[in-house]
Amino acid sequence: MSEIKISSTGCLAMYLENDNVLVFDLNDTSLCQCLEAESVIDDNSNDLHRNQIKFSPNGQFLIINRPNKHLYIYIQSDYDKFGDSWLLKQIVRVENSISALTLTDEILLIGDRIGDIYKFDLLFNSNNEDLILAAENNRIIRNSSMLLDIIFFRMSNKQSFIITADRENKICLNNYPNNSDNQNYCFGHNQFVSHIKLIDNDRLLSASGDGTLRLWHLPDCMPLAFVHSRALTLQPKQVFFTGLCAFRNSASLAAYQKDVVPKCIEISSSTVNDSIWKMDVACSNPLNSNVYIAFSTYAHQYHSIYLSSLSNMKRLNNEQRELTFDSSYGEIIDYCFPAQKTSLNDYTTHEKCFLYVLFNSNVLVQVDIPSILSYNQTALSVQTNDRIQEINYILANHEFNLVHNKIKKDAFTFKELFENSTDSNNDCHLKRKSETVEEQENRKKQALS
Amino acid sequence: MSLPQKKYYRQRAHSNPLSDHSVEYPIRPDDMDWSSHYPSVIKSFEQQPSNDEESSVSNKRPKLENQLIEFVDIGCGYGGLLVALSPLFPDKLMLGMELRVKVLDYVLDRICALREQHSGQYTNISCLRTNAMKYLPNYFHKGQLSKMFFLYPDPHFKKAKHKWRIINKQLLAEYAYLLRVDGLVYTCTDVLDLHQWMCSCFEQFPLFERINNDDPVIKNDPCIEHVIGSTEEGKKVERNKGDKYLAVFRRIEDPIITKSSSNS
Repeated sequence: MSEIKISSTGCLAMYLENDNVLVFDLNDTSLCQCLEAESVIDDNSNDLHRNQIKFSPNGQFLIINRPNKHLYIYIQSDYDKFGDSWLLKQIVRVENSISALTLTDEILLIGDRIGDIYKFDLLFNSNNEDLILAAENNRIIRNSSMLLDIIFFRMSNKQSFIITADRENKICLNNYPNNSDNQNYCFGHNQFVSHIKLIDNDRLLSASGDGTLRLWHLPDCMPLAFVHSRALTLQPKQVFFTGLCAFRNSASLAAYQKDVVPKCIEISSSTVNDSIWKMDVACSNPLNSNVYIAFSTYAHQYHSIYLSSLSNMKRLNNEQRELTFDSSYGEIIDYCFPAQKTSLNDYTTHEKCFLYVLFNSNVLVQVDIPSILSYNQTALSVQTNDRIQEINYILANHEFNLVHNKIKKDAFTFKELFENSTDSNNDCHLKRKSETVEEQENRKKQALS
Repeated sequence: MSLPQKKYYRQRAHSNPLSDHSVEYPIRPDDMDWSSHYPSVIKSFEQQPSNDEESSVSNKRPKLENQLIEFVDIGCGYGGLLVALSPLFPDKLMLGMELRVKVLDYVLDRICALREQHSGQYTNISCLRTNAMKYLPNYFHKGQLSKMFFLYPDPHFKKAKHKWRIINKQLLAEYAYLLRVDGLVYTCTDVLDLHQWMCSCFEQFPLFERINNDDPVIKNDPCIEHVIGSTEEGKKVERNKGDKYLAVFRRIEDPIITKSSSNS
């Protein structure tokens, strides 16, 4: 699927259908760079397209994960005469498709679909002039389950972990760099764990195919809180969002809303419907203790985003909002919060927290989260931000293709991740036992006759 | 009830451990109900799927102290080791794990028949079907096990299949998690290449140390003769006059931690 990611320095990267990536600078939106794939990639595999774009925390490195099993590492340098600042530094080739990846400012960690983890040094300048590097020698951990998300976690006492979320419902803490006594597991999910996010360096928020969001304390893996998506999605306060027209009063807005709120179709079983399709966490300003969570469920992935906060999740005081969009925008492709700024010079008293949403009509929308969460009316009409308008202008004029034929395929591969329930072992054993007894008797009869 | 006959339980020796076997496994060790395996384990009400997560987070509810499994035989085959060890350690619970369905059925029927024929005995062994490469941490708490047995594991000779071997670097981290300090791992095989592979894996891993085969700990250990001879595989090797390679390893504390604590 198309992804968008925003770095801590305000770079917005967008993954296009033809496997090119557009990079905008939110601080100066006249600058736009297209990072091209060198050839047309023929992607017939059934892989989930996730974790396609990642920035390093300091915004210096950009990693693009293309379906041809190659990772492209770009580094930011000064702007050259074409207005391009991202240079291709290295290409990494892996054997199995990459389903999870993460970066610190120094290392790159890759998790693939058979469970191996590879580590690369980003700062190391090898004498090797080859652009393409094979990943084979950099394997550090071999697991057996498909890795869906991976995080590098360093505690204040300098102990580090690689935290992985896998298809076998487990969140595993692997001690890094050497395997020692601190291997630990977070148990609790019923289905694959699709997203894990670090909060405040001592807690972990996880989202899973079983439809729950769980909060864990690290490194002892104590479960702190959990909430099923149904609790947040059954009776939320709905907020209808549009920026396409100006409204004179709330009545006309309400009338417009009735026309354009989209209907969604229930297709699959309830477990799949309630599962968390995507989750993102806003890295909070440390002056303010609230942490914002945006997630969407499988059933409503194209039209609604649910907004909640950590305190709402723990206390269940029904502050969550369901954000539905004007259907003229089309379907939601992806959304994200900007990464946390590493330099905290921005001590504004008014907390700013924006969610950027990308639609298949080639439109980018910026949503102010704190105002939505405190908004008590059901419809919201906003003026679009100038910077966003510039981006939308570029997107519209250049006919970049954001619509994927692969979007429906992604939904299908997502459903494949679910485990089907099986008969309990005891029943099978009894069935098989009666079969073996029958077989024995048949043989005796044959021997006699 | 008579003892089961192997000819009705034949199955191919090799099984792909990494394929999707749709095995049932508990979400966490506390959720596993062992009462159906061992008569001495009482089914506690704790083990219902708790919708009440808050109370499972708080530690106020007293839990029934059930005995925990201490010995695990990974790939127990037809159950020879379990049956031999059961009378030697009557107060320890032992579990065998086997991926092949028919072989598992044989072991369960055998245990059933033995319990009937010798009442009051063989109540401390059982077997279940699971994939030990993926789901072991779901069954046992950290440091719960005191002995682990890997007897005549599938050698998976081809280099591409080395990942299927039951002893490899990543799984060692899991075994180190499950075994208590001073717990023992017993490995035995008739394939020299596999024996050398397993020894090098363990030796490179900081949390295990090798106990030499002539060490008194091994000489006095009642398990050893059964590790070598009690399993079906072991008897087959003897009939074919093959070699047997035994290696025993002890789980130790993290040497980095012990070094720093002795320095401070």
